[in-house]
Amino acid sequence: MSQPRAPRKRQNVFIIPFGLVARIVGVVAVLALVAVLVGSGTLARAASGTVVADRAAVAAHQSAAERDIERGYETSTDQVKKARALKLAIGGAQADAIATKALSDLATLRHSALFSMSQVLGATSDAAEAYAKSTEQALDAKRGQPQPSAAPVLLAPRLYAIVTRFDQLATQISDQAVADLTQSPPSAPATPTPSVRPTTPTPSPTR
Amino acid sequence: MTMRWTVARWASVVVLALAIGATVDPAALPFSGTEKLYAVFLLDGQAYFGHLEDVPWSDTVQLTDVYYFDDARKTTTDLSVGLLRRGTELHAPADGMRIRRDKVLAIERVGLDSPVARAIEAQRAIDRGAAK
Repeated sequence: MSQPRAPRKRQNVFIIPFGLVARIVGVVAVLALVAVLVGSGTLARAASGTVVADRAAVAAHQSAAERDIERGYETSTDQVKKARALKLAIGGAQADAIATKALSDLATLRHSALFSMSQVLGATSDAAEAYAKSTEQALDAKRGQPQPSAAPVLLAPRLYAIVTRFDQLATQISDQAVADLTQSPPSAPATPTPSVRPTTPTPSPTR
Repeated sequence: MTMRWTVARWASVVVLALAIGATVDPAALPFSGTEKLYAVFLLDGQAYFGHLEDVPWSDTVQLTDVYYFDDARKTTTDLSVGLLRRGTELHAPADGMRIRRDKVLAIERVGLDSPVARAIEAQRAIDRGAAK
């Protein structure tokens, strides 16, 4: 005789199909990827694209920056030379020393600007030094000769920063030299001169 | 009946295509054409250049890779303005700039042959060269 089976206790069982889980994970992964792409700006950059100048275009900017530096150098050295050519109140030897130092500083500054520009353009220290020297010689050789007018160039920001800094420092050097050259000579130390003592008033007779 | 529906469907497609063709600039679509640089002119006279993200539901427009003009009248450059890249200021702004829409006077596309675009392209080439 068979005994009746005890009723099975029902359990709450959730059956989650694997396919559904995979789809949810996939959707979350895609959303996360899109969020990363949007958040990092990669999507925006890819959507807009970027154009990079070729070597010739960069060379044009380099030439324009050289011209700008040379223009500033000429302006500052001319200013010092004109001030030196004036009839100055200070002695000739002192004036020569001031002018020579200013011109030397300006040449060093131009060298430094050309060196920095070459380094910004990716040259090594040795190559930048060689470039600065050869460019200085070329610019000095061209000075005073008629040059073909080149098309104006809006400089790339890094080159513009170098030119701007060069102009600031060159102006400081030349202005200081002109101020030193045109100063009045130091006067001899003042010696105390005896002041005239007022004579004591004589009592006027009142009567 | 079927014939009439077919004609109506094709007519709808043609009308929709004409409407899209008349209103959408293909060159302005993302992932199409060359780079799209924009100039954003503000009411106070400032101008910023860069990549524009302009979503209609936002009260700001966002510019990334931003450049702006600098007064170069005291320098010996060819032009009386210079171009600066935003990010080199003392507070070193990091990720673009958001501009209130009500402060914008005009937004224009920058021509890729313009001096501004050429300067930006040269700057990128310099950055890549220096990074090597």
